[in-house]
Amino acid sequence: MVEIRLENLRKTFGNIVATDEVNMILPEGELSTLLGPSGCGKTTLLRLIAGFYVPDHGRIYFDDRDVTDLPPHKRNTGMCFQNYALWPHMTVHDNVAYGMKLKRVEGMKYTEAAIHTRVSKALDLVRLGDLGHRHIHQLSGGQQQRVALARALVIEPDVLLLDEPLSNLDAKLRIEMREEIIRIQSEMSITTVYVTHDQHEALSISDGVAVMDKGYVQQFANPREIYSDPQTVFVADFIGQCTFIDGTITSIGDSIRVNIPNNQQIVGHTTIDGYPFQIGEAVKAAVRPEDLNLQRERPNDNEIVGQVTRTIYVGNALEVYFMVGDIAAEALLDPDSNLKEGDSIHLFAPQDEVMILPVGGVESLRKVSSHPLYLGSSSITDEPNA
Amino acid sequence: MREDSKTDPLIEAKDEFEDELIPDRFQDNLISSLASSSRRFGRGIVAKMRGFGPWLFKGAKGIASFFRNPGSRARETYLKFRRELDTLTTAQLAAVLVTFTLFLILPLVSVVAYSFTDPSTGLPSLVHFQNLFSDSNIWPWTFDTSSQQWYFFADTRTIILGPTDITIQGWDFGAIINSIYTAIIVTFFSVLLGVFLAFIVARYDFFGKSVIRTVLIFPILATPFVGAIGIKSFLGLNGLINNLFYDTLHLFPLQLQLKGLAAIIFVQSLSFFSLVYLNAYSSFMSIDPSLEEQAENLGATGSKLFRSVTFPLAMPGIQAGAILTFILSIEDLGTPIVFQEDVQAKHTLAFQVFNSFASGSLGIDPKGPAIGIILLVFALTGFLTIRKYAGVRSYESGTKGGQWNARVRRISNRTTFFLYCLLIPLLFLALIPQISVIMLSFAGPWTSNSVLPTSWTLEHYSILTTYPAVTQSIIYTLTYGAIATVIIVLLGTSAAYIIARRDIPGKTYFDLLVTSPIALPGIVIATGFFVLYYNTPVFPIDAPAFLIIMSYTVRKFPFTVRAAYAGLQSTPVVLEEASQNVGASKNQTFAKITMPLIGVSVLAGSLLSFVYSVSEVSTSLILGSLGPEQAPMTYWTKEVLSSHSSSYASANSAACLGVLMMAMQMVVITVTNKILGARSSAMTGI
Repeated sequence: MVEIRLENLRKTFGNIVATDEVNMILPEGELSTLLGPSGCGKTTLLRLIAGFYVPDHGRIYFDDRDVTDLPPHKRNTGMCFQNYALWPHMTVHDNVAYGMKLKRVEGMKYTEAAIHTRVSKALDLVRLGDLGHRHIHQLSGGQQQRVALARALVIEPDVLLLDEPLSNLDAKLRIEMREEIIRIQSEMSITTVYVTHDQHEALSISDGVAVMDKGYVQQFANPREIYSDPQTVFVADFIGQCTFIDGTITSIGDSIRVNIPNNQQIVGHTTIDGYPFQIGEAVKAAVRPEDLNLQRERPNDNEIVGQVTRTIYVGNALEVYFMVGDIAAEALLDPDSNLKEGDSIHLFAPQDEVMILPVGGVESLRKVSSHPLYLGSSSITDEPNA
Repeated sequence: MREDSKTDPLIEAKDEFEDELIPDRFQDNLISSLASSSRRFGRGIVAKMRGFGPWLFKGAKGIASFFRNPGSRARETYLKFRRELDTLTTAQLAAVLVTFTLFLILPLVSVVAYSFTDPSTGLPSLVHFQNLFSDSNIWPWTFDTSSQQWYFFADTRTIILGPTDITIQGWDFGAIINSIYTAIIVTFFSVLLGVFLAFIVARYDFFGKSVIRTVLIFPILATPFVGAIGIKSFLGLNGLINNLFYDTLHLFPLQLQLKGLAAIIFVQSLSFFSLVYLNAYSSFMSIDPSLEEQAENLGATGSKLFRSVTFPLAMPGIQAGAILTFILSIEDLGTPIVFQEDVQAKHTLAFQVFNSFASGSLGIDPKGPAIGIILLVFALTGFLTIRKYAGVRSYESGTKGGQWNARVRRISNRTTFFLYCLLIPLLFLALIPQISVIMLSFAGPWTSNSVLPTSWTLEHYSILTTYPAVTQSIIYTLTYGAIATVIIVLLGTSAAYIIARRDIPGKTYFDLLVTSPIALPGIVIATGFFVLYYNTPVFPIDAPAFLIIMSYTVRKFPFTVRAAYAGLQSTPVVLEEASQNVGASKNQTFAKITMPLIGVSVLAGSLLSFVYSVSEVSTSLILGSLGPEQAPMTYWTKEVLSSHSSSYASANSAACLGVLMMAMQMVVITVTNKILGARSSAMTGI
């Protein structure tokens, strides 16, 4: 099991910057997820780790080995492609055994018997024990997925790379396979890099999540931190739901005071240590819809006044859409709340649930001296940016 | 003991380890990989042969079931037809069926009937085959009844060493074995050359690649006949190859001559490799790249990757090309005719059929139809094999989603240099047919040892204008081709439309019928025309014009059908449905919506049909010899070549006619390549 260290990676295709300034340490034995919308560079990053791309500049280390210039077949990674990439001209057994036949340990190769045993064990691990003789087209989607997993795991790789493995499966199967992957990963304690655009998936299986947008890693932290302390508007918006209210800063101290439309004020906290806020700076006050309450719970709760535009009953809650000045916002309230369109609404948001976020995205992160994206720094931090 | 090993997991693991690993030795790997590939090859052939039986059986059962309950079955079929067809479609279907019945099925059936009939009694008999197999030109083992002994006639002098030269000709085992082994060797070389070039073009990017690709397009339409004319002069003792490599560059220790079957193998390999190239190229390009990436990820590179993943996945396409090459080689008439001065070349099945007409009399040597059956059997088997596996033509990998990261690697300048060192001789070889014909047509007097002729001249081209027979034949040929193409477009689009859009009973058989002419030997069709129609109003003596046109129509039908079919497949049915929804009838929709959308594909297909008609050899030569005044260009090319006239140089003048055909081919291929791209099915008609 190895730790993956990415230093200052950049990859372009002609004029298109696929990914840039990636500085991360993916810890040994943990499942790290690259999360982001289509085109954000997560698959590019995965393929850089796998060795199918050579970065424009930057280095990749497995533990202390510099693998940047190593071709894919020498990196000892096991990759599962999004479309499974199962060979149609071979049986399940031959698909899984392929890598074992090629593997050399100190100049020695595996015997036929050994290969057979290990393949059987791998197929048992993914619960496909008696399907070794079948051809690929005779398998269902979930079974194909498991063959791809078995094939990657049987060679005992240092790193397991999964490229959107569950996106071709239906909802129920997806959950089932998710559990399988988590079980296997923790049983074998293998460093895993997982690529997905589904934030539910990401939050539920990961030890660490790297949220990416337009080629940049905006935040790399554990799921709890990603959800409760997002550092940019993009991260806050991409994970879960978030209500954003534009405002300008009036005072900075232990907590930050922001002016919002309709002459209201809101007090919140920052999620980025060390960000240089300035008075008068335009920011967004972000609060999760479920943290907005109809009742004041603490004396220093923020009060927000708006006008209801729409209510939608979704069974376990009432989604309330309201306007604060020109800004559309959303709250998630008790399903029995008595609200209707046109009503004026008073909501309360506790101060430690209100996040004050700079509007710059990556540009803002560059101003933070301890962040990997800090302008002028080429070194990496020892822990994910906080 | 167990206690100990349990408490020390490291020791246990190590034991386990040592049991599993054995030294990795190159010899072992080599032996095991050879053994496994030959095993797999053998198993594959056996599986295919075994699969053939049940498939034929199923087809027969289907036909038999029709007869089991003819009454209700007929009604069912009739109702289905009525539902699917309207007046226009019925007319189209009928027209295609009538044409094919009259000019393909009946002639072939008559050949079969003729060859199995004893002419003196009119009863079915095998007498023609007996005669065939007792002719030592055809079959080497003959049984002499008078001496009760088997005699074996064969010429095994393959390599003849002279004082300063070495002559390679093939073994002569009689026409049947000759044609078969020639076809096998030709297929082997074609696959080798075609797959190699296809792989380079598909997987590597290098300086000047687009030039190479353009250059490789030209051999695609080349007919062996034209190329043979040029190669024959190149290969002689005073030909370019010897002058270049022996006299000038001193690379050869001896002068090299290829004669007889060896020459035929040489010519055909160079003419047919492009079929395999085209099929292999489109197969390589359609392999999902993630399948190769996954193999790389697991440790495979280079030749291991090629052998275990790339090549097996491209196999169906390559096999289709290889089978077609085999069939075309066995039925090729043009090349043996060019080399007919060598006795060996005459001992080929195609030439023997041609010979049975050469007398020009009312009767034909019944050997012809008998040989025709043999060719027909080969052709049909091959064709059905291709079509049977056309469905599995490319492995349906069933992969959805993910990216398609095309695996084209840019190679370094140094490697590009070595690549060109290999490519340039290969390309020279691949283009010898074209180069030689062009050079020959412009060549002035050629001294015996110089590489290039002493002067270049245009005077050979006078053959096109100053000899009325030749000039007339050119005009006739273009006319025949044009008429045939018009018929093909009308009937071919109809056939394609019926196959693509209508679900009539027997659709697969219809599809097989209209695409079969690719594989069916032209010489057998010509034989059939003769047997059936000679001296009838359809084919008056000395007037084969009508049948020539119909032969072109039927034989070059598949190209337009395939092209139109490809066009229809890429035109969603919903476009036609939308038209009908707003009020247009089926005919109006066909004219206003469908035709314009597939028009470009049909144009490409019709150009291919035209140019193939104009350079068609087998039926042109045979039917032409029965009516030289109306004969097409290819017939007169042969006449010019084998004449010993004093007023013109025969080989050079023939080459001029060849250049004319090639020029037309090159124009068409450039245009169709733009339109159809690399879709091999449309270009080769399978």
